[in-house]
Amino acid sequence: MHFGSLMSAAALAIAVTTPVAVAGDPVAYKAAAIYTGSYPQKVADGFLVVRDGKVIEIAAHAPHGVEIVDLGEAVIVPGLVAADSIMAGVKQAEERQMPGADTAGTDIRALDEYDPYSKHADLIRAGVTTIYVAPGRDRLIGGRGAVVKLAGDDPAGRVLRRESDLFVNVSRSALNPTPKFEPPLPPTAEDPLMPPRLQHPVSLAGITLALRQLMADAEAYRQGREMTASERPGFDPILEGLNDRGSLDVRLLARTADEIRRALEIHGELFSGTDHAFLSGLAEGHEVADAIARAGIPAVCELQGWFGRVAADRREALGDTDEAWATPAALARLGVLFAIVPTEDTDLADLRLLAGLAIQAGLDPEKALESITHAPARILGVADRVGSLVPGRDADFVVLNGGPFALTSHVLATYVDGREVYRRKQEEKRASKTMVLRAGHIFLGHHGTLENGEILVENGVITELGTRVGRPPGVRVVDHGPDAFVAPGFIDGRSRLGIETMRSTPNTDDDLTMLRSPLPRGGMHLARAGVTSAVVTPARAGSSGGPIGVFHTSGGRAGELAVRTPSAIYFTIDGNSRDRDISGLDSALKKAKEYKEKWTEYATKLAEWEAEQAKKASEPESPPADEKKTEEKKTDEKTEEKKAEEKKGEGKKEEPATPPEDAVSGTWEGVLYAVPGTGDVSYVGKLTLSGSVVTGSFTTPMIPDQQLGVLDGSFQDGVLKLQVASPHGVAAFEVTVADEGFAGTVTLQGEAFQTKATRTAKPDPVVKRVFRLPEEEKKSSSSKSGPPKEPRRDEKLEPFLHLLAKDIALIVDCARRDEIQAVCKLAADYDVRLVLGGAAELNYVEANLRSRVEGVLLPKEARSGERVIAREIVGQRKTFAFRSESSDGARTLYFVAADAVRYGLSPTEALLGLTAYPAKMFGVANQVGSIQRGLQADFVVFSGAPFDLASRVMAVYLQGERVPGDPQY
Amino acid sequence: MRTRILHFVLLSAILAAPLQADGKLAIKGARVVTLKGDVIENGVVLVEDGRIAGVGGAELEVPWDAEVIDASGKVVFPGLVLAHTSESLDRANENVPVTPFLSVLDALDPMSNFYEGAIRAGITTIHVIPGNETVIGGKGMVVKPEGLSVEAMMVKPLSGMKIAVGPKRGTNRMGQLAELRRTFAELRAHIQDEAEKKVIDRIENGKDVEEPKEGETLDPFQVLTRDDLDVKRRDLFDLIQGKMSVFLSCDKAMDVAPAIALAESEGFLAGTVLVIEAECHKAADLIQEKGLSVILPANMVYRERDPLTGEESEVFLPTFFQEKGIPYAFTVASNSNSMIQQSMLLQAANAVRMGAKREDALAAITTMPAKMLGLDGRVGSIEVGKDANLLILSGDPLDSQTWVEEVILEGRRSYSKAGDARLQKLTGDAVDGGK
Repeated sequence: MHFGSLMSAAALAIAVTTPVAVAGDPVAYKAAAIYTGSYPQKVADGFLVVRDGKVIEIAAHAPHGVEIVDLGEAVIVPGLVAADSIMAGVKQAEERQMPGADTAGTDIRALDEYDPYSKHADLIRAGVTTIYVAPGRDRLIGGRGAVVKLAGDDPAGRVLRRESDLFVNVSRSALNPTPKFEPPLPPTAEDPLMPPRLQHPVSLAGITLALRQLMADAEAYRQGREMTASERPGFDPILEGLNDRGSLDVRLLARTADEIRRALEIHGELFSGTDHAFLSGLAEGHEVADAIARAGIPAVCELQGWFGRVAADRREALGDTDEAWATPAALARLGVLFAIVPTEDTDLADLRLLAGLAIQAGLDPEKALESITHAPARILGVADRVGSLVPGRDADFVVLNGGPFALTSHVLATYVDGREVYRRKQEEKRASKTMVLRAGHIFLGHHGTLENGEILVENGVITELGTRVGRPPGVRVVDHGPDAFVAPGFIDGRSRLGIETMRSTPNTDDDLTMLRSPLPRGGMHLARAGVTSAVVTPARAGSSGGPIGVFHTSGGRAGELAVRTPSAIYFTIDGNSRDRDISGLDSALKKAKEYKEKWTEYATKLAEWEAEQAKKASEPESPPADEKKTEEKKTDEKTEEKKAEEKKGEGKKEEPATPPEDAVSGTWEGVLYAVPGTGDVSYVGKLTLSGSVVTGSFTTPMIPDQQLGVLDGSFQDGVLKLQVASPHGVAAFEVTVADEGFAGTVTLQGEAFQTKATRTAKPDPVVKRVFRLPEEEKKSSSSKSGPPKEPRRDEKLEPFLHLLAKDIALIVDCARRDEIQAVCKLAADYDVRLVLGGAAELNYVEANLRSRVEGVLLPKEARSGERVIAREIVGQRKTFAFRSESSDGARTLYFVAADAVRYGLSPTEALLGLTAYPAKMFGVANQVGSIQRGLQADFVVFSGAPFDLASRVMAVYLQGERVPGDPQY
Repeated sequence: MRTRILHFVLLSAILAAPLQADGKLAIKGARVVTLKGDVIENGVVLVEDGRIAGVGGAELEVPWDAEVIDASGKVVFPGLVLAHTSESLDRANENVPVTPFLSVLDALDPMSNFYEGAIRAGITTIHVIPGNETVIGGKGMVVKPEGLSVEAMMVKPLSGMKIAVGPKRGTNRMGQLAELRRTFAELRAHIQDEAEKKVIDRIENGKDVEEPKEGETLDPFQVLTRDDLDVKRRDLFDLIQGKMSVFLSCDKAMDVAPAIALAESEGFLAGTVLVIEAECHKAADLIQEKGLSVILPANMVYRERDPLTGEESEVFLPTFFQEKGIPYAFTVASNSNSMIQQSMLLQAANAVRMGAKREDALAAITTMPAKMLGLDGRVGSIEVGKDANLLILSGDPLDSQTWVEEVILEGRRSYSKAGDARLQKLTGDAVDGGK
């Protein structure tokens, strides 16, 4: 097999999933809503068609033959446009270093500071695709701004306007005189060293004067430069820059009401001619909104936002004025064209939120979106390229997971010129297991039904429930509609899933996880049918009981399916069979009780002895007890843990440190020779020998990600025999072990292959729970009375300790009345939780004995005639569970329950019998079986009420992930 | 102080005189890597009067009066050319931004240790030019690493002008570029004014000059000569007429486009060599389009992490520029006295190891920098008529165990490893080990 080529094919498949717009090939992006930023404002369930980086159309239906990218519930808005920024990042101190005259830098170009090779990650992530780059802003004339895109491979193509406006500062921030010193080089008598010059103006009134003077100087200079060479004034870059304005707009920065009035005057006096002028700043714009409207010039409103930060004081929080938020709404009312931008000290990435907050202050939502898309594009003179999604404009757009102004909306992707420049990648992976599930009805289990509710699932676990749950960034919201009914994933009360081929009779010390096949084939079908967990019980139990485990039916990797094992102990009582009469159960329980007593006694003794030791130790030195404790914790935390376990005395006990070495236990690496079609196959086996029984599992690169369990294994007289489960059938090993190696044959599908292997590792000498006394204590113990001797550990009886602690239940299959009675008596004697399997004659058992029964695992046929056993059990206030006793036949479990409903069982009880009841019975109610915080996100979603013939299963979720494929029965 | 310098000058003149008079040398038996045509096994290189008089195989006749150097088993290689350095400047002017009238001639320190290290590393031609922390930094010159005075070291008195587009420390690009644009705008306005004044002056003084006709524009470059302008502007006057090379320094890729735009609009693009930092490779397409060559930084690996995807990327500049077809030259680390960091041979070896072509890597330390400096007729390869700057190497030039055994500088046996007391002390016996 060519794994290499498979791998590269997979890599290729991943690479092409992101659509790359080939020149000329249109792509249609389907979204729940497309906000155009122009008219019509919003298109619901439409297609944005893009070709060659341009918008072709916005259509209700996708054009024929066009590649469609379905963005699902996502929303498209135009790439945001910021009409101001401090991206050039010039600080006041730097501005001082800039060349030229003190007051004006008319020839300074902000574009020089823009890096067209940078990714501008913070802004692209926030969906801002076009910005105005401001030159320095502390001089009277800071320079020439530019309009650029923040992404695109062609650096020159990112520039929309190299020089867009002259930045004129008529606010008080222009009044800070920045002393300027330029040494003439070399200094001469005509051009001597002079003290630094002060920047002018120094008062607000002086601003008008200074500008007037500059304009007059510029005019005089222009005329002077036309004179003959000897009379001509020397070259002046500032006045040159002022004269050579070309198509520059004029931006007038003004914040307070008096500054704005002055700016309007200056506009009228100096720049009203051919210049396209606009205002910027406008913290107090609402006070002079009328004047602005009369002047008919657009405005860029600065707003200050504090997201995720706490302001030092009121002034910091609100800026110069706390009424700036009123400005956009006031301007909107008067029909002034305006844009919203953040103040200098607000994060530009918060642009969208700022516009959202302006809505709170009275702005219309449509206007709010326009104020960060189309309006700034118009003000900056780039509306023919960006700011709106209109045919012919640049395909710059942002994909959001919600409405543009929802607080929980996040940018999922950003496109510039039709190309994806950003995609939320890390979250995508998380999002597959993180979602909000909405439905009209959510069946919680014992706690009734939540109407019109939501479930938040994170990493496969339910983290929140309610009518409105949280929305972590990047979360998917899956709305199944008001009719949908969500129930917990079903649990099959008795299944053979994964152990179909098992012929052995497992004992209570066998781990079902190891015995069953790791990824059972029918599992996916079961999951699609809503059965997300299965209680796996072997067909026959040993005479001293067998193990039961609860497993997920699908999903995850091998070994991750176990919900709990062992989750119950299983007996079969059949009076007709000699080796299965009640005495077997009795003796097993008796043994278990004795075993428990032994350990309880040991624990008591050990506690006494330890107390004694502690007393002794504290006497001679008597260090403060606390100190000693913390020290111990630091030095040997593990020991501490062990001690804590020990003190509980609840049957937790240890084993001698080193297990005896044997010839089989350990890791084996071997080769299977000459397999048809593939050649030699390597494998790694991990085997454990206990007595003559061999358990373990194999892995092979031929079958990746699967553990092949040893179904049956024995080792006698140097011959190792193994039955190993594989997707191709059972492989039978018969090999001779010698000198750390084995050789022999493997029979698979009737063919025999040669194999050889060597043992590469022996079992870790530290196995399971090893109890080691701390060195010091050992020393002291040798002096006189040692610690009490541990009882021998019996793996077969270990699970019974959980049983006697009522941690897990005793499941007994029995049918006849006398058997039921005897079992109930035993359960009472030994005080254990009892679940009966079958128990058709339970009704005839005396009530006081019957009360010992916690629940009943219904027989396969849960109804005989019109008699519904489940109803009787409900009547006795006991729990019940449905069972399939097959593997993937359990897909019809729902119909077994439906059948019971048909004959009178309430739908609620029927659902509980598929979910919460079995979960409790098998000790997994803290993981599955109901919808509660902290439980696993296993859901079945019905299109309507369950057990309604018209309802079908719409979706099944297993550990938060949707089970692929159509739901089916 | 001045008298002492004078003494040095006299002394060097006296010492140099007899050697140059009958400086006939013949290097025999070596593998001659000429970098011009094929490698000659068991070749002979003849030197006379400081120049290469003959290159050929063993059959080449050796004059009877030539001093014969038996270089059997060794490699003869052209002396290396360092395209750009600001080392050895007594104090680089990087305070005043626009100083086109300054030259390193006045700042170069012949006693600098840098030259001792350079000759030990086989560098025989060095371009010294003001650093990059400037706007228009001044003029550079080409020297050889031997001589007691600047005049004695001189190879080419004016190599070109240093102009920096990447901003001076503490400033920004807006200011830097505005300063540059202003300088040239002012210059052109001034030249125009001066030309008009000159014409008017000559007409008024009755010299036979035709009065310009109405509407006719005056070409100031026809009217003015360099000497009509003040000292501060003369060099820029040459520069904008394309009469001077420019070493244009760029810190980031974003500097490249404005740098090229400036060079184009001010008429010096043809004579421009870019001095780049590693990030500038992103603008390679533009550099290639304009047919420019680049001088690479000493650290030739560029690493970056994409802020959006988190992907790490690494670019090795020589192979990158090689693929783009952009000629490049290597430099050595500045402010370094380490022998390894000064080794251009190791730079070339490293480049080949990382995938650069052998001939390109060798050219990047010899013929390519020579071409950038306008010295391709004099240095960089072993050809008859070129300056006799020769290295005798113990092995292949790109072998990291190779030592420079002897340096012949303009025909003189200028350095030998055996006589390098400082090296002996540093390496002890190791020098004689290996080969």
